[in-house]
Parts: sequence; C-alpha cells; structure tokens
Amino acid sequence: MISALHNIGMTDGMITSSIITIVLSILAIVAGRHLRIVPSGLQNAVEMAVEGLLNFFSDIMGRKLARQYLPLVGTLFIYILCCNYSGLLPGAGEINGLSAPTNSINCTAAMAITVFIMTQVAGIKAARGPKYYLHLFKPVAFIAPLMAIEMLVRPLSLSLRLYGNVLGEETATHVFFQLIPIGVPVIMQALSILMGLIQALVFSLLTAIYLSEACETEELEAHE
Amino acid sequence: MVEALGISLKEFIFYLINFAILVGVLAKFLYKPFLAILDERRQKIQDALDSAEAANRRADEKMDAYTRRIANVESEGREIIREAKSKADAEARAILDDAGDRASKMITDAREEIERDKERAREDMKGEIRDLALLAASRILEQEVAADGRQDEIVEQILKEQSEGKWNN
Repeated sequence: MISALHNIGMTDGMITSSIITIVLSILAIVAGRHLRIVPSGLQNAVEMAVEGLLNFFSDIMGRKLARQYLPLVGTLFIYILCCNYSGLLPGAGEINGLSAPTNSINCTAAMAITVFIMTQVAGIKAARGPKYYLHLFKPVAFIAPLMAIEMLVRPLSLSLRLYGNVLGEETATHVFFQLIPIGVPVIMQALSILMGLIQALVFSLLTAIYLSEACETEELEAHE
Repeated sequence: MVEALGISLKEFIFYLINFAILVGVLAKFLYKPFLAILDERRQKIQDALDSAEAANRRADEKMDAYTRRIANVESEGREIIREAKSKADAEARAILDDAGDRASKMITDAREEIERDKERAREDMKGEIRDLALLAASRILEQEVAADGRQDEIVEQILKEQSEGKWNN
C-alpha cells in the first residue's frame, strides 16, 4: 500500500502528514460528539487542551482575537507538535511511510505561506480595505521598502527556522547514533522532545504575534 | 536548484491542502463545539454565582427585615405598656378627682342641710317661744287679778306641758 502511495508521488512525509491529519480529525470528531456540561474522560482532556491553547494565545493576542484565530494558531501548534513527534517514533525515517513532515521544506513553507496569507487577510479585514498597507509607510515613507521586505521575509524565516531545526535535530541524532549507539541517542531523543515542543510553540507564537500586529496596526490607524 | 533544495510544488500544494483540511475539520469539530461548551459552562457558573449572590442578598434583606420587625415589636410593646400605664394613671386620677368632687359636694350638701335644719329649728324655736310667750302672757292676764304669786307656777306648768309634748302641732 505504501509502495502504491510512493508510486503516485507521495513522500513518507506526505503519508505521515495524511495519517496525522486523519488521526487528529477522528479524535476531534469523536471528542466533539455528545459534549456535556459536566465533562468526563476524553472531553475533559480535550477541553483542557483547547482552554489551555485559548488562554495561552489570549495572553498574546487578547481574548477576542485569540477566539477568532484559534483554529489557525491552535491547529498550527497541534499539527507541528504531532509532525515533530512523529519523527521521534521508533523507525522514523527508516520505515517506509514514516517520516516527520516538518523535515520537509515544502511542509513548513506551506504553513508559512498560509500564515502569510492569513495575516494579510486579517490586516485587510481589520482595516476594512487595502489601506492596511499604509502601515508600511509609517513612521516615515522612505522605509516602506524595508517594511515590505520585513513583511515578505516572515514566511521565509518561519519556514526555514522550523525546517532547519527539525532537519538539524534529526541529522544530529542520526550522526550521534552512528557514532555512539548507546546512551547519547537517548539524551538526543529527550532533547528532541523538548525541541519539538519549542519549535511548535515558536511557530504558533510568531503567527499569533503577526496576526495581532496586523489587527492592532489597523485599529490604531482607524483611531487616528 | 529548486530540486536540490527539495522544493516541490506538488508536495507544497499537498501540504497546503492537507493543512487547510485539518484547520477546517478541527475548526468545525473541535474548536467550535468546545469553545461553545466552555462558554456555556462559564455562563452557567456565572448565572449560578449571580443567583447565589442574589439569594444571599435576599436572605440578608429578610434577616434585616426580621431584625427590624423584632426591634419594632419590642418598641411597640413598650409603647403599648406606656400608653396603658398613662391611661390607667389618667383614669385613676379622674376617679380620684371625681370622688373628691363628690365628697366635697356631699360635704357641702350636708353642711347646707345642717344649715337648713338649724334654720328650721331656729324658726321652730322662735315660733314656740312666741307661742309660749303668748300663752304665758294670756295665762298671766287671766290670773293677774289674783296676784297671789302664781305666775311662776303658771310658767312652770307651761314649760312642763311643752316638755311633755302637749304643744306639738
């Protein structure tokens, strides 16, 4: 079956990503059914996760924006975390169809482009039109090219940061495993757990900041 | 170069669609229902807290009302007792005044009665003395010629007759 998927051009990362998407979707559908006021079991755990994410992003974006963009930033966090941790599963990179999707620049770029587009949409929506881009000319007009470059570089930095970290981490673990197969890889795996979480956090945190900035800029200008 | 970096448009689009599907599914089946249930629970807790606060406030108000009523009952009781006492005092005073008035009236009446009796007795005495004088004078005149010193005897007899009640008309 995996070979068939390979034959149609799907990489291991794409297969893993699909599996993650399917598993998360099933989990969400199962957890979201028959919700009760007094939670129990799975509902309890998922509620804690959703509320935790909402509170975390509320501290950055404010409650209203966090609620509005939680599907994007929350999903980014969960998806990147799952992608990163899929690379820690036994046999990841060795078994057919199992590889961390974030190990591919295409995956990280796809998410970064999504974030870039959503940031523009959020800014335009908040400014009620293309006057959102007037903020590039603030505080002085001649820095507009720099501001534009900064805006355009964001998706590049987001995607390369995540891709580079995960790739570097996996490469380092692989090299250490070949050099000293006992002991050191365990330490690297432990570090990878931490790094996987940090990378997911950084990506979603930066997304939240970008979205927050896009909305805040337009709000301030609207007041002026 | 693009190939060397591992960049593939097909893969990129696949991840894009994959991520978009995941966002859509999680938004519909995870975030929306869970945020709704969290809001509902928050609202219910808030309502319960508001309701409890309102119930506490009502209880406090009732307690205050009862305390006030108890205090009022005590003061009303004291007022009633005070009024009853003052009323009883007034009645007692009225009775005493009335009794005093009646006693003084009785005394006055008695004194007047005595005065009237005294007056009447005086009048009676005057009449009797007049009658006695007339009788004595007529007896003296009847026996004047005799001149034997029996005037004293006649007077004595008349007085005796009077004391025996023979002249009581």
